[in-house]
Amino acid sequence: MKMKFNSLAFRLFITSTALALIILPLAAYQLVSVYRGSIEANFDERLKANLSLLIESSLQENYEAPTKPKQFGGFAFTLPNSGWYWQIRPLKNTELPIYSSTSLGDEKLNLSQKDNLNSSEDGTIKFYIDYENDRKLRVITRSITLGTDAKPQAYDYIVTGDSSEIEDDIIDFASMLTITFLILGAGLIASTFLQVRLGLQPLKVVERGLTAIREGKTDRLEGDFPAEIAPLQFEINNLIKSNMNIIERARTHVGNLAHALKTPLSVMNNEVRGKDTPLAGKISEQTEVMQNQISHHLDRARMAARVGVVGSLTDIYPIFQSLDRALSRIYQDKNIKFTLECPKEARFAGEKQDFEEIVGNLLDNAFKWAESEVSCKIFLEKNRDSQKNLVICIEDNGPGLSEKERQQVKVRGKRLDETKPGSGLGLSIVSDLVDLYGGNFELARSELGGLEINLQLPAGT
Amino acid sequence: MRLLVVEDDKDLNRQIQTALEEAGYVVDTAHDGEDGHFLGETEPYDAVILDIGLPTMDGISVLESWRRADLKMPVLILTARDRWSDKVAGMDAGADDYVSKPFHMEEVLARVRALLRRSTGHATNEIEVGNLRLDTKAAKVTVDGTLIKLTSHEFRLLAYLVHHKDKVISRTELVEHLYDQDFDRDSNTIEVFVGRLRKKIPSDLIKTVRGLGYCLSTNENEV
Repeated sequence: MKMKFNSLAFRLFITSTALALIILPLAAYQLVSVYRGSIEANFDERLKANLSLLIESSLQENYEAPTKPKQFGGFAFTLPNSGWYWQIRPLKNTELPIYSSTSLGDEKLNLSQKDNLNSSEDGTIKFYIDYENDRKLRVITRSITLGTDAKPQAYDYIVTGDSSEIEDDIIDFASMLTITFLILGAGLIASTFLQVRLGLQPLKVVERGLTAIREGKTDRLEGDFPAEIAPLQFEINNLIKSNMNIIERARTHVGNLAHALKTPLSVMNNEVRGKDTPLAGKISEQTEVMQNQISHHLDRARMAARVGVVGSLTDIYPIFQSLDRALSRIYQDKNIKFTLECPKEARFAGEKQDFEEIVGNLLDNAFKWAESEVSCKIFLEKNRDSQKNLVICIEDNGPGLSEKERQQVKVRGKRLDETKPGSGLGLSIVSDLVDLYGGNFELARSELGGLEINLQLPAGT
Repeated sequence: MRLLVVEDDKDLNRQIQTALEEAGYVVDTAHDGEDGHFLGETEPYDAVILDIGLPTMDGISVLESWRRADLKMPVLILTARDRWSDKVAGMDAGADDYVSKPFHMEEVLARVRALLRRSTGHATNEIEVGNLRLDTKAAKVTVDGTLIKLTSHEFRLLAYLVHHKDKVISRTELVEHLYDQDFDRDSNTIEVFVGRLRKKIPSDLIKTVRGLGYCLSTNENEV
């Protein structure tokens, strides 16, 4: 399925893809925040434990002033630049000593941020500070007041840890999460694509059905459609039916008009029969013109009514049978031997009346001119576009036509022999109808001696 | 030969009737389907000319009903609907031939002649009995090539006998086929015309079969 920008598939695909692209990063961000919270809390617990230990080990029995704790904390507090430091710092009295961990050396920690922060319930304050080499330290500090009641002295107890531990953890987590979410996103997009394809599949079926109707392969939209499309199918089928009814009505009106006009024409024609006056001659001539006009325009009207009409299918074997019955009776005197070879399943992709008109006129000609024999062979062949064609070959053993006459006939169903009854060869209407169905017909000399007509029409499947 | 014309257009009906009568046929007419149907069922016509578009009962139904009742007279249908689907429908209903409107009367006459010939088993327009020859197309009778002058009544009688040559035709049958429905069937006109005919053609051609009727034949032994 090739996706076009202006398509339902594209809209569905783009909206669900956009949603996935927005929701997944949001979810990832949220997850990382929650994870960071819990990692930080863990880290803070460790710092707090160290802080408690520092306080405990620095206090003397009289609580007057802290002493420098010996052997406090782990190895990290002794390693220079480890990021793990502690400090005990007297407030507002620069004369008292500052105790620091070995790892800190002579440096002082910059705790200016602390003044803006409130202490939490357990009296500690936690924050990050920037340290040398772009490192970040997590700081936990608590103020404790020692000394005598008369002369209290507050001290800041500070413990820091290297926060890169936290960041490393979070980066690990985030990259794992990213990979997981990328896979999930790709899966979502793929499943959306499949959903769109599957969901829109019935529309494809509708399209194929409509094509088949236009090509005359069927006259209704067949199939078991989902609930959303079933009403559409129902309406389309009704539309086709009502379209056919309209055509049928138009055709009936045309027929009625024909009947209404042709009877008075007959009357006028016959009224002047055998009279040799100028008036009679004029009337005779004019009724002839009117008759030709009516026939011409009726044929046009019938044909116009058919252009673009939803196609139908016609079984042709029964038509040949009834034409055989009719023609054998009409030409009973001639005792014509009629041979018919027609596959029983052969179907014409078009209207029954049109097929009857085409073949009726051609067979009528064959019977009219034949000496004793008419043959009609029908077979199916595939044309270039691998669509099936009906090939109908009608031959007689009458006088046939010369090459020149055949050319004339093809041009415009001219009346070649006025002595045989019937209006010309009826080839004008045949030629128009065959054109209408995109068929073709050729005249040739038959092996039987007379005329051979090779007719190609679209076959129904 | 007695014919029925069923056509609802009064002018056309009259024209066909006139033309057929001029050609030497006896013609009854009907102007709607039911009348036509009734006449066709009750009178012995030699052929019927039937319009398809009729009031009260359409031509196809009339024809189908006749054929169901096993009436076999030849029927020529007139139709304005000249598509093959209409023709085939008419032929399938039991018609023997069709003429599309508008038509030239000569065409109807030619078709009627052909139907009558066919129904009596003759292949051409000219029928011979001995040295007598009947040209159904020109409505002429010759004996040894000499034209015989006949009145229309005489011609009709002779034509019927010629069409049914070698068959015994009863007086009733002759009356039924030579006169329209208003004719007084008890009169002895038939005998009078047979007598006149015998004077104009070789007198031994028309034989009287006692108690049965007449027979036109050259064969002495069959009668």
